[in-house]
Amino acid sequence: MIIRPFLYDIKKTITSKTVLILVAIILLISLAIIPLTSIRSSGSENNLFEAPILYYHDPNLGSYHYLAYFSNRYGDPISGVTVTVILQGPQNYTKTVVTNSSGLAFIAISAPNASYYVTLKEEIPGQNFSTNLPPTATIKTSTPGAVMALNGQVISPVVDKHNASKSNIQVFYSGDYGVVPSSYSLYYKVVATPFSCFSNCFTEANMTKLGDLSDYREIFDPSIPPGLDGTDEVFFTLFNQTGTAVQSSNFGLFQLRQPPQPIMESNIASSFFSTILGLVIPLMAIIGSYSSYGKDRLTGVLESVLARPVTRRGLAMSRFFSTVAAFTIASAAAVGVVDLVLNSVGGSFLDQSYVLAIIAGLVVEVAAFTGLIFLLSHLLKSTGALLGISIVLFIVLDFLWSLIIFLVTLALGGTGGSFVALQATFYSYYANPAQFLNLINAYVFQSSNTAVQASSLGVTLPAIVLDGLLWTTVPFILFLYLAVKRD
Amino acid sequence: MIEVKQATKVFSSRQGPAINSVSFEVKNGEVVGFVGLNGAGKTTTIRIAVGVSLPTSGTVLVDGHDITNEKAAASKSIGWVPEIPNFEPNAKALTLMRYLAGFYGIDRTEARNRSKDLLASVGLSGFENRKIRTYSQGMKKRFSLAVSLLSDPANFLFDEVLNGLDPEGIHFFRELMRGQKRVNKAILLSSHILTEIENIADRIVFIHRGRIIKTVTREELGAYEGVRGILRIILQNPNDDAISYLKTLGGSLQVQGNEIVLSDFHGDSSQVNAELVKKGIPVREIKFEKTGLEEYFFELIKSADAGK
Repeated sequence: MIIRPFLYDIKKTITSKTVLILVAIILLISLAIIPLTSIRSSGSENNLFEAPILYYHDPNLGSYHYLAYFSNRYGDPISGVTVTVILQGPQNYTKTVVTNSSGLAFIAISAPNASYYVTLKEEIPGQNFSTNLPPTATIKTSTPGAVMALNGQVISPVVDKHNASKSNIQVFYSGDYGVVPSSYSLYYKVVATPFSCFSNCFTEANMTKLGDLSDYREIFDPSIPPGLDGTDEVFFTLFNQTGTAVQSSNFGLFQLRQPPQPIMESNIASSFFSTILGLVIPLMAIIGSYSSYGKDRLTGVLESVLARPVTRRGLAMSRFFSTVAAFTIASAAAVGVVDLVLNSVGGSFLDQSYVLAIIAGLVVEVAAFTGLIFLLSHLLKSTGALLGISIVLFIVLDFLWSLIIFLVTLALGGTGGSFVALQATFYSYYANPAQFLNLINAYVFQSSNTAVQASSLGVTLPAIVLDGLLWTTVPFILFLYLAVKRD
Repeated sequence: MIEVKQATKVFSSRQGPAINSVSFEVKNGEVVGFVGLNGAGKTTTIRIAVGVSLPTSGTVLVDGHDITNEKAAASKSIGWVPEIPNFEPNAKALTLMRYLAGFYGIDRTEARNRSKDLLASVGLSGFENRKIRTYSQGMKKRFSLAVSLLSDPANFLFDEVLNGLDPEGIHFFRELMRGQKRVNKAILLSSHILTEIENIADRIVFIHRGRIIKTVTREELGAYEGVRGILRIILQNPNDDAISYLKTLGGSLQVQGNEIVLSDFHGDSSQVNAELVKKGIPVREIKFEKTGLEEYFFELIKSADAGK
């Protein structure tokens, strides 16, 4: 019977002016991640990974040839990289080229056959690298014009654009004399640890073909069977037309199929979620709870509804769940916007399980603050007192919490930055619903973001789930008790 | 039918109970006046009867349903107009009525139509889409009345409804109560002004300091010796015939221009009117009033306080 009033309450909460303004602010802030992402991604997208460098010597032309391929972590080519090769020997030679739209740089230096020290310089705006390549005299090729890999990985993992937790395999290679490779094939084999398979396993006959190389650079998507251990290895070998292995690489399975790692987008997202959303969502929940229940209860407006055929429990639950539902929708929308922005700029969506974890965290924060404000509205006597205490609660839990914990740690004899201080910070997150997203981020990124493993500080999945359940239910149950049993 | 049984409400253990073992009933087709001084416990009793306040002990049955334990069922047949209606100030009247109609299970279209009709019937036609905060106090009362009529309930609780209303509003409410009474509805009408009630109530329940001190029928109240009737007659042309006829009715007679005031009148005003017309004396206005009800009320209070 109260479905329509419940829907009306959701609509009323979500369309109230203050909430609309806050939702608009959240969405605008979500959009503000675009420049942030652009700035960060210009670094990440065009970050100069250790570019693979191929080399061959053409004795007929008397020239030294270097091929370089520059790509980002997705394997997308980076054009406009200035590449300079310097030969230092009896005489010095320098050649500078700029990578083309395919990210390729072909550098040919005509120089007499001699022993040269080789320096490679790479430059894009804001970044400048210099690498020493092997001296020409040390490079021994089987046949004239045969290609050698000097630097970087010819076979390397690159992040899948559509699934950040998965990596594909990029191959950069060239035929003899720098021609477009043909009749080269990539094979792979998953080997369980401990290894029971050695060199005889890595032949065309014993490996699975991934595909042929039809250009200097190709990306392959290896099919990895599920259920393997993260420590298992995947071996890749590039065979030429005669079946000879010309390049090999192997990667731990965890490098190819891994839980969300602290990739740049995730870092941006986690910072955004824990700082911006972690700040605004509690504020929104407080304001929304005040206007949807606290104010109505303390001014007596709620009685005009309570006089209808509805139980106290029914009305209390309707208002609570409509408020939580309204802000869950708003929070999910904000997370969705962030994910879309990151996808449009960075090319990949955030890991789904991470997104779900963040939304679940936001629901916990919303439910906890809604429950607290609803509860306070039964303990206080005036709207002024409710507003005042709500604001104090928000400031303490959102702004002053870290400072308070720091001071408490100092007072107890700890020092800032010590393990004890870190421990106190993490434990304090459990006591503060506004820090719940920090717990989730700490858990998700625990293996790489913190020097000290978060699990050793008590940030474990069962503890987070239990904490979330407590924050979701305890304030709500206390509020419900007072709503049903007291005027 | 509303049955209040031994209802007690204690707001604070440091203070005495706001109401103490209050019991009375309002039968179907009956208007019961609920009279008491400010702070006597009228509103507390009504709020408990409506279900917006919980009794410390005792029960209220509405058509047999306990307002505390069977709240939804009991509230279905209650229409409540509080002294100061307090609705969501930023809601539009029609939208809010449709929202409240949802609690009664009235479907969307029916809720819209019924709300519009009711708003029109209480004189708020044309104001349906205005926000409640823009309403005057009288308009809020009318809106509250329209809301109370949403489910066509069998029981009404009107708390000081006539306060702050203009004469038209008072007339409107009185006529509405008479109409609802005719269709067998139970009506509890509270007021601290006895004269407002005694013309319409079948019974009057007196409450003082949270206790029921007396329940009287209208007839019993009329028979109270301190209560005197005053007949005010405005004639077009007062003449000797009229004066001598009126003198035969007993009591003291005062003539001030066209107005004749007959004190201690115990007869039937309509018969007087008919007799004057028969004698060819045009009557502009004839009005019967009672005085001394307040004295009766104060006497009750005095004896209650003395008994305490």
